[in-house]
Amino acid sequence: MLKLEEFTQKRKLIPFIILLMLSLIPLFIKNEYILHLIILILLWSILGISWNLLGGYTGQVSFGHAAFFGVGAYTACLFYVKGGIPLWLGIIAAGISGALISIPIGAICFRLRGPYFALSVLALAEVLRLITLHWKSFTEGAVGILLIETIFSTKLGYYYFIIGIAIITIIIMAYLLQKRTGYYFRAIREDEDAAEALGIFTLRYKLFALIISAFFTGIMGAFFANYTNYIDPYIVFSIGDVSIAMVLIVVLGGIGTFWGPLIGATIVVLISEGFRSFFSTASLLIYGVLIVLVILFLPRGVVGSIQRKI
Amino acid sequence: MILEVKGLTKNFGGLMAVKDINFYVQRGEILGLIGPNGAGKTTIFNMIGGFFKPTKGTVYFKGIDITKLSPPKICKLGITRTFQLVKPLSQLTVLENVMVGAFVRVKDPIEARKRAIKILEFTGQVDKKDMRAANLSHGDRKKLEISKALATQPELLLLDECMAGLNPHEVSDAIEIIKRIRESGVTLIVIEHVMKAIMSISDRIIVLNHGEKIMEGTPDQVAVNPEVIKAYLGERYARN
Repeated sequence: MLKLEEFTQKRKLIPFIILLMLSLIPLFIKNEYILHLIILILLWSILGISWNLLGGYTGQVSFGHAAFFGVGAYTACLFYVKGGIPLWLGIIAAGISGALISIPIGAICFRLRGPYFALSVLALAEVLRLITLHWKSFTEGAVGILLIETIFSTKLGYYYFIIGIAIITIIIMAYLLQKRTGYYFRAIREDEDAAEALGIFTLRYKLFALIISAFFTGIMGAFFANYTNYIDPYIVFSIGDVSIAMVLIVVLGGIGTFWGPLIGATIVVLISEGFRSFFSTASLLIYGVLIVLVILFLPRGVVGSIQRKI
Repeated sequence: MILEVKGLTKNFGGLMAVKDINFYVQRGEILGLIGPNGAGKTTIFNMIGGFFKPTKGTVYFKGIDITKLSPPKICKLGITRTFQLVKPLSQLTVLENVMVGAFVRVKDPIEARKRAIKILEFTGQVDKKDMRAANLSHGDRKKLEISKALATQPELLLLDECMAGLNPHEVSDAIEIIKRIRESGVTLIVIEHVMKAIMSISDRIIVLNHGEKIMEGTPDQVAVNPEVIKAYLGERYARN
């Protein structure tokens, strides 16, 4: 019994040890492409962790998280380009606007049982994509927004920045999950009626999970905009490249597990980058094959399947 | 009177599931609620617990009108119900299941864990505390349903067929637990089909048939009542 508790205590430190090691890597490796890969892995890990909080732990599956990603990206860019607001502040504003836009959807759909939430977020993402596309005077439409100046001028800057965000995200996640909130999230996932009968205000907790999930997704949207210097409606509101990718990463890694999103992000980024070098259009095919393989052989994801064996 | 139900009616479209039900429960008593399947017993629990809104009627708990309140609010006020088709939190352990119940009264996970262990000791499930609920036997799931509910520290506990599918040993165990629950100061309404059990533990019994109350009395009175016998066994037995 004591051994198990010791082990779980030490286990909590592992993410930070990994991130510490990652922080030291640039001292030895100067190859910018490797830094780029790690940045991508961390970007998708944070996105995966955000989705997992709502979809994996609370059981509210979303196929439209691109809505929050895109809103975050455009908030940061438009604040800067139209309002002259520094990109630093834009990142926080991005998280807030992601969270704000999620509230009406949650407030309505979480009162209902069934697929309404999943479909509504998907619809929201599409509606936002279309609005952004056609409201040219405000958003530049399909031309997109090019950031001439961004937060950092070196890849190294973004590298440490995203490590920092990853640390904050993991701390918040771990904190919530070990408190009463984490138990309530999982109770809601398992059986909402049972949860209500045990005194849980399920609507409030579902909204809470959604707001946090949307907040971090929005922040990642703003990070992405700064890192790649350019956004347009097709990129940031994309169903396949953003919404479904987030689902794939978590499901592959292990839905509802702590490590799932990190493992899933690593696998998906490495595979798609690997294949991109060889055949670029096949990357979409790879996604499809991965999804089929996961459903057939690893429905609990990598981490989930290992946990099952223990 | 800890609970008072007045004129409680539930109409599902054209189906009158519960019609003009009136009863009360005294603090500290065990009220049995019996009747053939489809009589409306669980529907009444659903209405008391806030899962269904009555078509007509009111429910008073400790003098407060709780008719329109939500289930979590009602649980916080002191009424907890169990489900006939048990609802374990499958992927969580037995201990975690009970902790979820304890969390309605306490915020700290360490304190919740302590209380959960005490409850599991009370119901005799401590040895299984780290088992995932999904792996439990039927009898253990039924018991977990009670443990979860007890963790919420109810003043009034609604048990819905907690003995369904239990073997005789498990039934005796359940009767034992219910008696100890009453001794600890909790009032109970028990829906049950296991006649031997409900007759032995109830102070009073209400009999339902086709959504209406057909009789109310002590177990002895109910056992010989012709209407009750007719409802369960048919006209032939009643005439005798």
